[in-house]
Amino acid sequence: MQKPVKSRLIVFFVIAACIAMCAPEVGNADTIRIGAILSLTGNAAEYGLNMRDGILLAVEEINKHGGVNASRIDMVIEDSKSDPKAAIEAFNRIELTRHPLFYLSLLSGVGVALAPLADEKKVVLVGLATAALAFTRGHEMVYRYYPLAQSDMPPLLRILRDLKVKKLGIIYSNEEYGIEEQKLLSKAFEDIGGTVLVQSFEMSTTDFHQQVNAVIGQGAVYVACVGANLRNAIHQLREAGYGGQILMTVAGADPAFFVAPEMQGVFLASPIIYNPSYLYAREAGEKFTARFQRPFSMFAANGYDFLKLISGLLEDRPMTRQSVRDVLAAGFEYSGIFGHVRVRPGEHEMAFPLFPTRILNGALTYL
Amino acid sequence: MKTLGMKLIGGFLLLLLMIVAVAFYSSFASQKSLQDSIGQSSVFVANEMLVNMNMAIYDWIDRLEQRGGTQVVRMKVEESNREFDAMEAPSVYMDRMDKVWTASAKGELSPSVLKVTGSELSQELRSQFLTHFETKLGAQIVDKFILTNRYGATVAALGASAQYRFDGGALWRKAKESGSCAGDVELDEESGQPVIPLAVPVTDAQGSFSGMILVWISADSIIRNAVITYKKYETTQVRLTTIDGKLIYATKAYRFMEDASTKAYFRNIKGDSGSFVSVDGGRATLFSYARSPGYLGFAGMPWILVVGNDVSDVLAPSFALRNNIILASGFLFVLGIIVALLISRSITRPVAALQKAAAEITRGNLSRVIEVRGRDELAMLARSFLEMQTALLGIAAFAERIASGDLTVQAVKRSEEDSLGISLEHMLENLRRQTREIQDGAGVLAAAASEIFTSTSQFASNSSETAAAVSQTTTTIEEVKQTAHLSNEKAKQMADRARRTEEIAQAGRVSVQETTQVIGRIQEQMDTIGESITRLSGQSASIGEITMTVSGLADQSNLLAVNAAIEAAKAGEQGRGFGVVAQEIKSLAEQSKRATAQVRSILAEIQKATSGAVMATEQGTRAVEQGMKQAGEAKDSIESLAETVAEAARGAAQIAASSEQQLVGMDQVAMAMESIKVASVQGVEGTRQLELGAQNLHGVGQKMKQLVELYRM
Repeated sequence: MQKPVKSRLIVFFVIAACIAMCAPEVGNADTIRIGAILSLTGNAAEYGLNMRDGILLAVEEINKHGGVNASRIDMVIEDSKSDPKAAIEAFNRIELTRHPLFYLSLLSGVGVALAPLADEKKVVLVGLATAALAFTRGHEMVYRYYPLAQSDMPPLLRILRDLKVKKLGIIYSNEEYGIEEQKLLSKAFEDIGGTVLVQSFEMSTTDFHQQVNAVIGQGAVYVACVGANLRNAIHQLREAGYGGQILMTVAGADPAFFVAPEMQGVFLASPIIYNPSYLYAREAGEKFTARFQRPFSMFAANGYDFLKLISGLLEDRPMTRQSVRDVLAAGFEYSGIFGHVRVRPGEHEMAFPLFPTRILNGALTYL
Repeated sequence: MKTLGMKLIGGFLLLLLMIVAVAFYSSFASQKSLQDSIGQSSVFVANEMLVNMNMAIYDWIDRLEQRGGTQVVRMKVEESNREFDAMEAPSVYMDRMDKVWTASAKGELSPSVLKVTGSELSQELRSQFLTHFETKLGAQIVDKFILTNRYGATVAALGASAQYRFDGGALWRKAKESGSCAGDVELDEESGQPVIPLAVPVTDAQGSFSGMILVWISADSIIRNAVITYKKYETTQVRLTTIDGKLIYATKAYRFMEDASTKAYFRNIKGDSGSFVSVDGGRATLFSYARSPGYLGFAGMPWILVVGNDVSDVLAPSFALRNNIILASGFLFVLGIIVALLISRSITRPVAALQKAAAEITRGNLSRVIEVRGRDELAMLARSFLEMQTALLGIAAFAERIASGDLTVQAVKRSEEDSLGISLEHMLENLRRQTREIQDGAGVLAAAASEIFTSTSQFASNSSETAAAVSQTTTTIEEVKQTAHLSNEKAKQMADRARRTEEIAQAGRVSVQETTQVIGRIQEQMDTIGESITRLSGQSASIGEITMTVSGLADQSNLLAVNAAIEAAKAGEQGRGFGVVAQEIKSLAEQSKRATAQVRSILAEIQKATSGAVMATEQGTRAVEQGMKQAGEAKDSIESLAETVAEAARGAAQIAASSEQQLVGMDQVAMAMESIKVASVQGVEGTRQLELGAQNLHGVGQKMKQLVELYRM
């Protein structure tokens, strides 16, 4: 009675094969690897963590709908520790072991340190929340999706003009971004007839009394730095009983700052995403909050929106490093959650507009 | 070989497959239906988006028309018109101002530009149109705002403008002639964003054209407002193109005014609206499109809006249904197989038992008993099979009685249609009749066999005697044959010897002939030698004469040399050389004389030897002639002997040939006798077998008689 057993086995396998053939397609196993060197610890850890989550949310959404050109995105995220040296080590590590399609970086100091490596390795590096002009200057493979330091200037000048400030104090961090902000605003403010008193500090500084005391007599003080330094400096201005108007960099456009008591009343240039009337960022913000149980910050939005932007640009294109560079170099229009962005052919700046705002009652008010 | 079970399972699976196929067809039909439905609803969405955009533009025109009707605007425009009316060459002024404005846009603002942009009206318009929306939305909607007089010169301006004079613009002229209108979307280089230019005429109290409001509103804000309002799916992508396929807007990164006419989403557009599926970004996408329908009195922008949704997203419910059908199909397959196996087992088991029993019956085994359960057709078949088995057992018993010789048994005929029973009855009757006939025949056969046995025994005895006589004759002939062989050998030897003698005699004759020839040739040689010696003797005599002459010459030379020596001595010192020569000649003459004496001596010996040779030659010639004569006699004797030997050899050869023929004849006689002997032996053997056969036949006849006597009838 061998034959019936054999027949049953054949029937079983035929059925199994039919079921296997009818099963839904699970998708292409190809992946696009993207490297990201973010500040997950250190001075700007808050920005980095938000940006990481924004990126991951975008990747989840893109992969859920088949990825880019049927290839799933695989993020390779390393901690820069908010330190250029650690960032370089991370870059070399990723380059050696994972060889991603392109890189993302956060912070001007980190970006400026990585830019020459990107040129050397012929791989695109996109700076997010990286405002220093030097980041892209003279680099073939380096792009930025963030306003330049000079983009702060028009809204800041408008605020200073509306406030009728004549004497301005600037406390700035003695690094790429702080120095650039200080120089730009000093010149622009002096151009409209104001006077400027500048005070610098090192990144490792936690005691700002010297700088605060120096600028306490100015009508307004602009704090040009990022992260914990920004918060500490303003906090110590408040503690010193400073009575003038306080302005800060766009780095303060973070929901965590909006609710801080020392930040109430502070002026700054902000992107549009916090405007409740602006519907385009709301959908992404709601998804982010639902996913990570915290507000959708500019840094999360920066990472989220760039992934959406680049995934659209790479559609129907070859997945090579040169192709990434080519699509960015060709120029494009993009209506993302930061508003309309126009990049002319050959430009390396993907800047979105900033608007004059003020933190009032735990929220951002557009002026 | 296909088994019944496999056929049943196959049939069952085929049925299942048909059911699944119907389910799949339903799934795909519902998917198609859903796709069409979503396509239609997306067309509606596209249409609504376009209506929304046109409505927003129409609202802006309406708002600007209201603004243009305000007293302040009318007043400012009228004032400007009056100023220009008073000018002698307003066009020249406008050209000059236009250059100033263009220069101001690139560098320092000129006072005339500041006067216009900083005017009270400009400030008021700024707060109404720029600051208001920016504060509210955080984004610029109005990119630029220009108020012109009826000449087209700028009266008030908001935003960066490099132009003062607008009367040459197509939009300005169109609005002046036809009323408020919107221009084609364009890229504003100053702000870097796409804008829609709007032109709204300003009229005076009498309704006459007095100026124009020109506003460039952000196309992005107008379009995105409409898109976000109607966005339905997470993967919804919107693209807005001009009628000829130039890309104005896309939800993904795009290039403004990029030619999209070759792209799949534009290439498949046919008619005013519709939907289709195409691949976009590596994914199957359901595209729906609509042409701008306008809004109220506004003709609408000449745009086509394409909405794309991932098929996997919009058809997710259908895909879920399909997946459920696949799972259910899989489950049904497994269940179906189990049921089919159970059913096929319930059928194939009893059938297999019947098949085995039938196979056993085929092999002749009627004892296998099958188990019968149930009341279905298969159980009835098994019972019938058992009845058939019982009937066969009855037939086997019937055959067994016949086999034991009982022909008194009666065949059972179950019905009139029982062909086997009828055949058995016939068989039994025939068997009885044939048995009777065989019994009769067997008696006759036994008697005849007995007689044959007796005759063959006698015949065998006679054959044995004949064979013994033949054997004796054969032996005698063999002995004669041996004797003939010996005679023949002897004859052959004698003939050989005679032939060899003849050959020797022949050889002797040839030798004698050759000897005669040799002696002849010796005689010729002897003659030749004689002649040569005679000639040699003559020539020796000639040499003697010459020698004598040479001897005379030597004597004369000697004498001449003596004379010369004397003469040389006389000559003194001068003749010394001549004296030496004379001495040498003298010496030579003496040597010649000695040589001739020797030659003479040798010649004397030669003549002596020659005479001896002539004598020897003559004696040789006589001996040869004697040899010739004796050789001729020997030749005659040898030829006579050879003739006699040849005759003896011929006689011996004839004796040998006769002996050979005699021997052949003896061989033939011996072979013939051997054949007779073999035939005789075979005849004895055949007779013995015949006797044995007759004996067997006699036994068979007796046995047959006994056997047929066993049948009882």
